Amino acid sequence: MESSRQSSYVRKMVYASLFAALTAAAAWISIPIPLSPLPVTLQTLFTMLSGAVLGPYFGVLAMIVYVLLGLIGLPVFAAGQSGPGVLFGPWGGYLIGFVFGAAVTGLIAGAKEKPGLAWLCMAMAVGDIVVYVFGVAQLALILQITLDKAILIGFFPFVPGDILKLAIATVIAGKMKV
Amino acid sequence: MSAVRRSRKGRGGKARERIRYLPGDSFVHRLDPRTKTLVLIGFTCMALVFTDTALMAATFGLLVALAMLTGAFRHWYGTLVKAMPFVVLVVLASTLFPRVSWGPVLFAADWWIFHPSVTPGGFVYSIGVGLRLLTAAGVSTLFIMTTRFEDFVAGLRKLHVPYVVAFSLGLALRAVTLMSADMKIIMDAQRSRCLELDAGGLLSRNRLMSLIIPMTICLINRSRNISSAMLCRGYGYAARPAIYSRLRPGPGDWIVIAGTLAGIAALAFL
Repeated sequence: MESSRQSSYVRKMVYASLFAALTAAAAWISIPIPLSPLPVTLQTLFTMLSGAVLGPYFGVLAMIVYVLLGLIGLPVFAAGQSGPGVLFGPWGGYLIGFVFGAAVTGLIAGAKEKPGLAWLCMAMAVGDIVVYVFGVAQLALILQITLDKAILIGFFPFVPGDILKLAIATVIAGKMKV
Repeated sequence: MSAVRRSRKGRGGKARERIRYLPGDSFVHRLDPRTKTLVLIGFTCMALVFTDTALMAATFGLLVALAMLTGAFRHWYGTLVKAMPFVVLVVLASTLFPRVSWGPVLFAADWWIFHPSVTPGGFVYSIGVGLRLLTAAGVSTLFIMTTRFEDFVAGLRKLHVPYVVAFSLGLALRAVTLMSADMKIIMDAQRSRCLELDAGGLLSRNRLMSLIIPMTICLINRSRNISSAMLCRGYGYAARPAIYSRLRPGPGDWIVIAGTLAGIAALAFL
């Protein structure tokens, strides 16, 4: 019993590292969209997946490690950016949101012992909304614009892509066992 | 003999330049990972704070000198060249739409809602912006090329970073290049099967699935292999994992630490 718990811990720790690396690599696949200077990337998909698959503790760890990779200078943030300037810039709220989004997704997904696809989808949708709450709030704060303008630039352009990513992430999270 | 052993070349082709640790015995390789972390922070601060192009050029020159000391200059240069299209784009945009501008206007136009203008001051400022990007990317690349994953984790442990965070950060640092190489291979494989990833964007279910499913399988395979290897070596059976490599800063470390701290202190006064 003890041995299986240890092996699960080690597995989750390795998964958290590789989820962070994959989130970083996913930033390099970007789709430019109108109305927003920030492109659509696959990062939110891996944020949701890490929370749903690894749970709140390791999901958050994966996202913290991802943000740290960017902070030490690796060009792993969207559009190949890096450094502390990005975290405190207008789009930095999304990065902070990744950490909290993974935590919320993990907490909701873990509330049921055997979550079904609908429950996982709901958990990831709430986690995704948390990412946007932080993202839009920082955008409005730093750019000194009204909240409705910030939502127009920082939320609506990403909705169609996120619905698609949510559907794919739900299917993967339903099949993936760590 | 070169300080860095020659990297293995691919089958009959040129070796793919990617950011990875290059074994070597140079002065920079021998530095304590904590010293290198401080240097990394120092250079990142300089890239963030300096707005003067001459200071930025001096900082970048210092970084080039450090890269030459490692004996891995060719490889370092190769990875920076990859970032050049993005840097050139940023420099061009900064030249046309400068935040700082002085001197006579050399070019001005009215394109729809855009009003670009080129001035000598704007051009000099944009060169500084490009150097800033190269410095930020170059110092982290140099750090990864000269620091072993095990030493980085041991260094973080010495700084009292929790083991789980230190280990995950070290592994992720190493895995970023592996995962991005995997992603490139998957994209090339899908293109060879006539999937048009560039035309019409990626936002379609089939295109996204054709990338995400193989990437997830790669992630699972790699995670299983690494965790099995760790468990085979008895990892996780002791509360505090033993680290056999002892890190001790040498005289070179103290000189570099003093130089970096002096640089950061000078920044505070500028």
